[in-house]
Amino acid sequence: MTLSYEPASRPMNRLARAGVLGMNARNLDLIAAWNPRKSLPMVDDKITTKDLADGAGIPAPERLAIIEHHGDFAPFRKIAEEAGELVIKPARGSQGGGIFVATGAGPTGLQKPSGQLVDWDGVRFHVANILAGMYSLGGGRDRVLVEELLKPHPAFEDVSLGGVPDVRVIVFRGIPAMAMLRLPTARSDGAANLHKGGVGAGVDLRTGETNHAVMWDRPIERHPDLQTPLRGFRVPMWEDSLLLSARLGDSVPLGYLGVDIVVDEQRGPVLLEMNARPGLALQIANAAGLRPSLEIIEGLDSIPEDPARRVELAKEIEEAVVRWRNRGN
Amino acid sequence: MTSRSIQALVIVAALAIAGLAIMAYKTTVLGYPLLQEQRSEVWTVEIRATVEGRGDPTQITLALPDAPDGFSLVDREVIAPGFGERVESGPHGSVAIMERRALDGMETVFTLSRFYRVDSDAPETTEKDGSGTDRIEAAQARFAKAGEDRQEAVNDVIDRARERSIDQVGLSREAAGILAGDSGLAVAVAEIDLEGPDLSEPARRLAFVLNVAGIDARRITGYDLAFDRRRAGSNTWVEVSAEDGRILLDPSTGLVEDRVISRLTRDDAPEISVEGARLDSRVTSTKRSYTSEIDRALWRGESDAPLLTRFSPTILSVDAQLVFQVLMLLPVGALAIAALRQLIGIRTFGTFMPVLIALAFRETQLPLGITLFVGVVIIGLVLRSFFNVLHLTLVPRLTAVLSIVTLIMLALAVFGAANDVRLGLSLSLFPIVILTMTIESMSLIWDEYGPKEALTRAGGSLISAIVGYLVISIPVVQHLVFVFPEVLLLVIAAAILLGRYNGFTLYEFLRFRMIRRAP
Repeated sequence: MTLSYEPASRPMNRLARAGVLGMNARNLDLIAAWNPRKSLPMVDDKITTKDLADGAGIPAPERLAIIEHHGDFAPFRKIAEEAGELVIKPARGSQGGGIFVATGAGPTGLQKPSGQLVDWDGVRFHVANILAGMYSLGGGRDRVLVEELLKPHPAFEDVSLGGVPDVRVIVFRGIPAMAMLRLPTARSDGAANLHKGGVGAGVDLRTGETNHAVMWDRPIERHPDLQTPLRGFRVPMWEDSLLLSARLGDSVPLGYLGVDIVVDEQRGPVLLEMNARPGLALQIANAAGLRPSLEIIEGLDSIPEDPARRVELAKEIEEAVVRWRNRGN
Repeated sequence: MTSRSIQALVIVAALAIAGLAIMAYKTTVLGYPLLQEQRSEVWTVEIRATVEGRGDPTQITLALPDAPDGFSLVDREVIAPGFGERVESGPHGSVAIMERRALDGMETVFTLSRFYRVDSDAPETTEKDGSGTDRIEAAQARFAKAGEDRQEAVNDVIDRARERSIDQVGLSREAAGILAGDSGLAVAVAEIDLEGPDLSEPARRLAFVLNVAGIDARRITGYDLAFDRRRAGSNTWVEVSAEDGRILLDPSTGLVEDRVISRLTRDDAPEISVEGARLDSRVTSTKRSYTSEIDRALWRGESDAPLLTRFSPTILSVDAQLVFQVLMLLPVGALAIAALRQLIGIRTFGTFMPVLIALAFRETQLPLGITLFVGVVIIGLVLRSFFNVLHLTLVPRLTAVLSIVTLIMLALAVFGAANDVRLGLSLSLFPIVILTMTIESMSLIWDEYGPKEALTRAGGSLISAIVGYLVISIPVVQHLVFVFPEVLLLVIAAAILLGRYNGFTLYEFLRFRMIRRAP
């Protein structure tokens, strides 16, 4: 059976014709309809996310420490000095807020990827801010998660400057619907977040090849620092990454999910975090609307049990959507 | 359409119908003013009579004032403890009749009449009671009996007045002017020795002359409602009811009366008559006040719809009313900001921060409010960056920033007072805590996402607050939510519709324009 796509309703404007998913429709038709409220804390808290991944046998960054109280700082400091490289994150942070990446540790403090040294007093201040809930969703107290620093796959060297690039996959009903590769730049200071100045590149689900890239919501052809072409880059271990995101569909009771994956040089695809309210910027990175894929998936009578089969299905859907998109040409 | 959408639409329809139905009932049946609240002029005329009885059956007949032109009588009270009382309307106006089998000693009775200005251009035409022709015939019969030389003075007045006029109203006006101005003629008319009422009284004289000329005119007494008077004396006028109009003439000046006159008696009816007792005193006071249309509607509502009236916010104390006048605006402002968010896609700091800023703008007015908001946030941001160096934890830092914001407010108020700008009270309503949180989240976003994002959101917040302010400062909106609290049902309905809107925001057309252009 070959899939094909026809819009569910007559498009009212050019954005709808392009199949773009708007913020209001995302909140109402996807998050409110598919993500039960009681399951949201599960992915909002990175510590429970990690436990969930461990339980499902999905690779996730190794946890070095959890800081719950100010008193936990001394043991953490010991662990940090031993590990050298680590990431400090708020457990309930959003959009990359409050993430501290250390590439080196010593008796004086931690070193950022930029080479800047932050003394232990400064680190303690940062930890205290996280604990006080400065970065947490909806305020309130938070916990600090200290994780190993993942090493990007060597294939990314040509397109990523400092920091760790990641792949964001939108998973709907356990089926990958759209993906983008997020690449750090000098401007984003090692962060892969688009709103901090990272590059977003749309990824063809069938091949894992980038087909379009944006920075600050504007199309670009080459990496701003490395001048390497951003189109036609092949994401390493693409099949495994897709499979990881599809497998999460079984473990998480959320219909509409954003999955962030880092392809580690040793461990391969690793689940970085999940998002129950994934943003819509990946439509800009792909220069394509998300709605056609979502509508096809929503129309499916049954969802295959086997994650590998769901990956195949995702590729077939991508094929159908591309055919629909090129129908005029 | 999903079942949830249908459910939402049903609820929206139910809320809208309920809200509109209550509003319609209140406007049409109870007369609540739908648009602007109008303050209407109210005159209260109180007539107080004290009588002294000797144990005999007593009847007091007290003439009651009528509503002046352009006013309507809404309330009339007769307070006569121990008396049987009734109000009768006759050709000479209304009278209150109070009776008691045996009256001993001093007793005071009084009547209260309240008139509301009704602002209808057409004065109510008093129905012709047919007494006009009687008066004319009586006057002409009386005139015919007078000696020929005496008649001349009257005819002289009438002829001269007729020459200078073309209709009955004009003739009356001229005649009044002649009698008031030409004292010789007036005296000549007055000296007509006739049986009947003394014509030396100017009003009686003018009415007599006009009646002889075949014009329906009558002497009236009444009060001019121009000032508050503790002891108002009644005056006399001549009321001319001609085919071409009705006017009131002041016989002493000969001019058309243009003041507000409440008629008390007509012809020569007495203002008060007491039988079986001695009249000690009779005092009239007139008092002007202003009341809202709502009060008037409430008067009516008390009898027509007691439940609805009992639960109207207007029964609250004035203080509480003022609080609710502001509180009721909150949801409306929030709705405006929800619309900006859902339809335009404006991003703000916090959900309700712009609404609270909008309420603060209400007190400060817009230019000062914006200046204060921008100024306080900038100063707060600068000072907060110093605290950042000190590595304070979140809550103590917020406390410090809060203190700074409060101090800035105080400094501004003092600075303003020194320069004769009174800021004190309006500043106190500025939501200091909200400003502190705004400074905190703005500096956070500045650090995390850069100045562009921080300024975008600050601008969005400010624009939302301004729009919210503009919406809640529309007088009709303020009036509607307070007089018709059921408007909030419509606000809920609109909020549900906004909440179910899954279309694009205006901002998204800009944000995703690239996808639109892609093949």
